[in-house]
Amino acid sequence: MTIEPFFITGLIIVFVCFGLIVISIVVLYIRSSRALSALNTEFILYKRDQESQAREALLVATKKAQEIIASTQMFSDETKKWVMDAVNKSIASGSSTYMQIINDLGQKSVKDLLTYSDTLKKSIEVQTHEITSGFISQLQSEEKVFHSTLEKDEQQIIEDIAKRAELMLPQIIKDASGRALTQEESEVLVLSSLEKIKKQHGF
Amino acid sequence: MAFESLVPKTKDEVVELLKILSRVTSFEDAKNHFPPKLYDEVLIQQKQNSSSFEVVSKSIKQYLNSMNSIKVYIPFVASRQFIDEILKYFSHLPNSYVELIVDQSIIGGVRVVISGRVFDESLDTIIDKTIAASLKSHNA
Repeated sequence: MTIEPFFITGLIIVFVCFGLIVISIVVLYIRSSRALSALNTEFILYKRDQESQAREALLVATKKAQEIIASTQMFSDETKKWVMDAVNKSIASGSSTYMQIINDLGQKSVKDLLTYSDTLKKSIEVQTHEITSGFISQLQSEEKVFHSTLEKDEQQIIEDIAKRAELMLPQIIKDASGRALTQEESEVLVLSSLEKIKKQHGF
Repeated sequence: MAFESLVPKTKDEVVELLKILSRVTSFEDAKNHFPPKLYDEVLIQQKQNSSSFEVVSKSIKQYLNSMNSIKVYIPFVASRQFIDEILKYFSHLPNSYVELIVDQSIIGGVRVVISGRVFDESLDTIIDKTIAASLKSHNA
């Protein structure tokens, strides 16, 4: 059996092409690997840099937050302790990001503020109610005392007027009678009185 | 000893008689200064008892000083005529004279005091009693 030269030439060409393709693929793989490796290194460096900046910012923010929390009177001691612990834990474990802590802190603060606000509101309402009730009660009590005093005073005034009237009445009648009597009437009255005494007592 | 003929009717008359008696010291003097009734009484006593003027005068003074006072309170100054009207009510009482006292506070009517007994028919007392009774019944 004879192999045609043409056929052999064709096979050689195919193999050469196949070889070139393989070589090209290997070259491309190596180049891609190198690129990926460089990219990875660059990414790691970037990531480290970002984390360092974040930690630094976190420390500053935490310190500031601690100062604020320590100085404010709005939070309860229990809340302050919780926030401090949360911040310290986050820093220690490194599991929480700055944003998470801030978010948690913000939620806690808002919640605490709302709770505080509600408590404060309720406390104010209660105190206002107590003060108002007390004031109203006091006012009613004073009003009763005032009315009682007024009634007593009124009664006293009426009694005084009545007493004065009783004292004045005879004098008024006497004055009026004295003025009303003429000389003749007075003389007649004297004589009639003497007559009456004489008859009654027989002197 | 009663000196009925000289029974004085008012205190003023008693006082006047006592003044005259204290001034006059003899019968002759008495004739010129005594009121007729008093002089008559002196003569009667002198004849009956043959007494001296001093004794008679003393007797009369004692009588006048021993008379009972009848106090009559009236609210105005009375005329002589009205005084006589008042004296009529007491003329029957022996050894007494009337002392008229003007007291406007009695308003009207009269208040009489005889030997400490009070007979009150004054308007002052009547008004007080009437008002007291009225107030008492009103308050009850």
